Amino acid sequence: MMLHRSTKLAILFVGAWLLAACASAAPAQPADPLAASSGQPDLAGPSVPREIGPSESVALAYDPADGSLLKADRDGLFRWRADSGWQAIDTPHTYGLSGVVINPDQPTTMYASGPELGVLRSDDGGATWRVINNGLPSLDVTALALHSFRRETLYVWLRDEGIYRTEDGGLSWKRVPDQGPPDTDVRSLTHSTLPGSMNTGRLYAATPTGAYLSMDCF
Amino acid sequence: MGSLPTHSMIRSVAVDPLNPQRVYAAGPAGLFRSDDGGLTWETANDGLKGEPLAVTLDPASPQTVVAVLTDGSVWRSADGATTWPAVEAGK
Repeated sequence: MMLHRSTKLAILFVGAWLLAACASAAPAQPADPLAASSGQPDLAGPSVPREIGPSESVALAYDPADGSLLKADRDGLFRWRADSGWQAIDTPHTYGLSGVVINPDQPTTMYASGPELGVLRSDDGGATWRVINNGLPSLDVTALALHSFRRETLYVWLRDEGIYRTEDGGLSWKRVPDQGPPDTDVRSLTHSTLPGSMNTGRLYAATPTGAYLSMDCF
Repeated sequence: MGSLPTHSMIRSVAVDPLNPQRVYAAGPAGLFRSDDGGLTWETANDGLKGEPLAVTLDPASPQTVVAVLTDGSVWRSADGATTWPAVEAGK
């Protein structure tokens, strides 16, 4: 199978990214997006139905403390609870966010990112935020990921720059020597401990042309 | 086993931290699940009505998968995206 051959080739060349998809027909999909809103609560507010822009990122993070959900998108940061729906969370940069992650071992610690923003950190559940951009050559962060088990290690994708990593919770960022996926329009990054890495894991990148899996050491 | 649509936009990827072979991907073409780290994919849309915007999971209980659709509605699967029983809320 071609894909398996590609996988082996990719492993030989550290730094390669593998398109995490097979080349075959698209599966059938739900045809009626409006069906979900039929009979549903009012969708007014920050999550009103809208077109997703060509270069937008949308990120979700599950808060294990209470089962709520955080969403970062072009309109800002929001928390969803079953009894209250989506509620806006104030951040110093209230629009154009691209990423949000929560430390699952300490859910009051969370990070948010955005183009023209860089990265923010909160240690009080989102009540206050501070900028943590030391070492980033630009603020154009389009994706943010938390390491699977190292809670002070995070990754960002900087448009036109590549992947940067912090191993101290955002005190300093350094460039990772990896050219990134072939499609550099990265909308999200996700860390994985999938076997095969020479370090502590790999990264998935979501892009307009598919999901890519790194073969580098993260 | 199916696959991700070739050259299809993917907006969001989630990985099961207890079983990193299991990966979820969401995009305009639907929600997909892989059990081999992304080599092959199957659709995971059973009961999910609408276009997925993003997907995540409960890191402590990774069978709990949550998707948000483009209409803002929130969907929760308790069985690793095998079934999506009902929309929880959208507001």
